[in-house]
Amino acid sequence: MKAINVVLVGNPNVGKTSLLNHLAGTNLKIGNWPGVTVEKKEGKVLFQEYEINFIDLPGIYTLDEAISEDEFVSINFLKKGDYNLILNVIETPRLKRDLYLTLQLVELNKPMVIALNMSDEVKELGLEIDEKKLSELLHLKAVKTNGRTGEGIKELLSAIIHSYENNLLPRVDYFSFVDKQEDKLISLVQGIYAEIRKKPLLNKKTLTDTLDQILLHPLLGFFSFIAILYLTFKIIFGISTPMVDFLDNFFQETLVPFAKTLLESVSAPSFLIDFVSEAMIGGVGTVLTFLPLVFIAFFFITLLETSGYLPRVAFLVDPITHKIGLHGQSVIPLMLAFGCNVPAILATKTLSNKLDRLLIIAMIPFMSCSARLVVFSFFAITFFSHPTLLILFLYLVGIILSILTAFILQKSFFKKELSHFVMDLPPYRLPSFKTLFTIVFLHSKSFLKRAGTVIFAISVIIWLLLHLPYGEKDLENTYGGFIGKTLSPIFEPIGLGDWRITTSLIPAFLAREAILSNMAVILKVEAKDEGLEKSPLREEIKKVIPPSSAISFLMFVLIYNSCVATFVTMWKEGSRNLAFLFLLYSFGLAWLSTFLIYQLKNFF
Amino acid sequence: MTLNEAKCGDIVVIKGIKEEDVLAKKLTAMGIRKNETFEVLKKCGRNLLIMNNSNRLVLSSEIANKIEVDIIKQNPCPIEEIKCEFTEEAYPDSEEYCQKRYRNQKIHRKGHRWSFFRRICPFLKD
Repeated sequence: MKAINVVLVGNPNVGKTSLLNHLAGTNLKIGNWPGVTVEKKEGKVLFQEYEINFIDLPGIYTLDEAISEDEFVSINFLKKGDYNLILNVIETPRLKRDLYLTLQLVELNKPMVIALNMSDEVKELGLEIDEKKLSELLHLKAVKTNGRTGEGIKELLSAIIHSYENNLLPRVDYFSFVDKQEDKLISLVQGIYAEIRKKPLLNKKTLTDTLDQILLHPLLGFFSFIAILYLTFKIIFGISTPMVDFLDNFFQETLVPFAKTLLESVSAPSFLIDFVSEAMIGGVGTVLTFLPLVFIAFFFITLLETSGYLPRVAFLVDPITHKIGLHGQSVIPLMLAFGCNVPAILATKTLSNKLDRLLIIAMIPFMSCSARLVVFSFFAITFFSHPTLLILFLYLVGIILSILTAFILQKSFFKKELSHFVMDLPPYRLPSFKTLFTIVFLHSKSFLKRAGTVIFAISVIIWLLLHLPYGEKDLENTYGGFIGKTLSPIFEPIGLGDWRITTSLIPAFLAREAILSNMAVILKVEAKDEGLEKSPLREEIKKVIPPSSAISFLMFVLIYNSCVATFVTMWKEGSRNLAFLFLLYSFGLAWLSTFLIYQLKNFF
Repeated sequence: MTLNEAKCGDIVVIKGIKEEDVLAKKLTAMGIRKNETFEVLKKCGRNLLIMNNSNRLVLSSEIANKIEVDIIKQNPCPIEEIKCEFTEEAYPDSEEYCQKRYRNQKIHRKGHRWSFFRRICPFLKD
């Protein structure tokens, strides 16, 4: 079987990854803003006795010179990489813009195929493009595609094979690329566009124009932003809370007794019965009950990412961000951090200025990720009558602290001039339900995987620590109790001095949700040892954490460095010093903030 | 004149980019090319939002200062040119706009009464 290496190239946000997902059956991350793909991604497909390897590159506007790291990856690969054919993806409604890069790609002298993507949007806009004429003018194959539905994929694969087999090198008759005159290239773009455009764009007001009147308005835009955040949380809680309660009941009232009965019936040793009921179902099960919340939260986060709203927020908040030395585009990685901090740090690769990148990397861990949302939800539902408002408050505190951190860094270590800002504003788009659910399913799968691996491992360790030394009856004298009691003086002034809280809190550095599984394990072991009648975990936690300490607890969880994966990514993408300094800084800030809140609460 | 000097609603044609550096090449590749026509949709803080067909771009004023343009159509009512600050100063032209618009129709008082509403709801301006 012959192999063909095909490189996907195009302007940012033209649907290269969407197309690759259809071509190779991959499930790579997509979004509706420039810079979703920041690293080289691959996928392969078998077609007509060929193994076609697709290499998806970050979007670029020009081959001239890279400004940011992601552009460098693309340009470097195109000039030095090993590939057989270029698949140039074009956003058809913006064909005139994209042809500039196409003509530069022609200069690379490699077989090339053009995918005229987003053909559905073109129809709505009234534009009609003659792809046969384009094929004739550039001596290559041009195929109309739709990245949303996968329309035109087979034709595209056939065109790739045909171009490769016949070594179809694109060229433009009567034009020489040798003299490199910019004006001539632009004239050529205009000429080709005039030739292939059958009907011009309709001059009508689009949905994007209408929505932008409101969402980009300096006053209404901000109100809309807060309202969207609030409504998102409100819907997430409204839908997920009954499901979480149902699952909680199922795990604790049905699954635990069933597992116990089953194990007792086969005369399993008592430690195994305890392990299953306390560490497995008690610990991991508590985290798993939040699967509906994670699913619904990611549904809305993905909807925001794919709708095109994120770049609008970037435009809207620029007057604020430029006061801390950043331009609005930096808000996109920050918003992505609401899903997970790790891809958000990777997303900073699109920024051209190194100091900008470091500054944003230092801001990202303050943005509450989905793992923290799970913990917040549990405590908000347990302790507070208005959980949505409390969670919105915590998210806003995170945003304020990230701005404060950026302000301090900008005034001290990262003094710099404000860099220029230029950004594409994509139209609003509604993703297909298939795409939306595929992304949400992948996030949910990742949550389940983490619950089954990291959180399970932590639960086992905590359970073992609470049972060692072997035969010790008093929990406070076990290794778990010893660790908790040793650390509790540090947490005493902030209202979190109970050894059970500190023992739960520290391993949560590996994964935030582990706080809940750890607490569940500790309280279950304790209830069993004391021979108490088991009550729901929420009631048990109320006995350990007084309501006055609950907000301190949540503040601490919010502020101190999110998790080990974030720490490692900060190290890799930023620097080792930044990662370690941030660890100390976030702990100090978390302790200080929590201390102030706890003391003020006691004072009043 | 430069693009930064254009007002909201103005339609301009690009005459050139002052400096020929990497950024200028990127702007060209992004669609800001000689003889292309753009409409200035919004000026918010230090940024401009410009549009050409379905190509919408956000530029900071430093970049806009490097782009030379000619105005081909001027907006008579630049109501959305505001500074993104929640103060009265943020709307320097709006009072004048309302007076001009309603003076001839002898409904000046009514127009004045609704001016704030029109400011925060620009989509209702027509």
